[in-house]
Amino acid sequence: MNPDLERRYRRLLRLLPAGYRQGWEEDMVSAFLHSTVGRRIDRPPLGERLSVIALAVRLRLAGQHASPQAQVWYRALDTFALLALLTWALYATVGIAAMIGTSLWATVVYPQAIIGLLAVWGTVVTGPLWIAAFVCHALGRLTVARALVLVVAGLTVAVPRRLDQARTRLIGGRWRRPVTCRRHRDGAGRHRTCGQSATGQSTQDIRPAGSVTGLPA
Amino acid sequence: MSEPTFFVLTALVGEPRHGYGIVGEVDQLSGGRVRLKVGSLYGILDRLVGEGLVELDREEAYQGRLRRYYRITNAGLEAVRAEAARQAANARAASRRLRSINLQLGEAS
Repeated sequence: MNPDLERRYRRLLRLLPAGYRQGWEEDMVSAFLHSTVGRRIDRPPLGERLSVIALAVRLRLAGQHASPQAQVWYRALDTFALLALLTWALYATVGIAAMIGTSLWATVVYPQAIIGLLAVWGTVVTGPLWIAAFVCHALGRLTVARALVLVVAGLTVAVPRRLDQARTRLIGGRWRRPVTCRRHRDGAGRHRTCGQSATGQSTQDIRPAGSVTGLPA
Repeated sequence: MSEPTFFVLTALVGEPRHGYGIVGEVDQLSGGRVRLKVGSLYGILDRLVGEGLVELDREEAYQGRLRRYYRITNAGLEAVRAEAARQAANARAASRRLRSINLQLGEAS
């Protein structure tokens, strides 16, 4: 057995609550050292370190070894997470109802309202996921709830960007050919850049300010 | 019941095992899919002992250290039976659905 490895593993186990260590430390050390027989390592592998850290966090926040103060904090955080998810779920439900009730009707009457439909489409994409995350949290399926929150957070960032691009295309009404600016010499031998008329006037209808591709900003 | 917890309980069915013995048995039972770290194993064991599904069987000296063996209780056996039945029912439902789709595909072609 490697004494340095044992010393390092015991130091890692100090992350665990004292009450837990008293009951399990010797057995954990024995199991860990047994698992390293035949392997030339002098410090606990990353996976083992992470598993002990995760156990320490769980025990200190929610386990029977957690201090009364930590348990109060954990319950407060849990309640806050539940209320935050409930708020988002309600917001999403209202958003979906509003989208179905008004935007679809408006789209039938005024086809141009498709733009408004795009604006609330984010709610339709992310709304059901917020509701599902709340239901999972309330039912104690915390792993599923965490995964859903991660997915919906990613969509919240990614979807509006795509929608902005789509809306820009619709508002623009038609695609315009990207214009590349290049200096050239006109018939009179003067240097000009594209987007500039022979009289020197700017042709912003071809290439609006701030636009790189020729699409409206 | 999570998959690692299910395999830890299943590993103890039949004979008591020590910590590293459970890790090896879980690895074998799961076909190498579930490789428990020591920290994860003792988190599970602590919870199972607290719930009365696993208990200490004996302590033995091994290379100058005390090694603990754990055994499954009757409540633990009952929990494994219930979980195995639930998983088997799920598997049957999925298999039935797959067979019906295969039949439809066969008829279509």
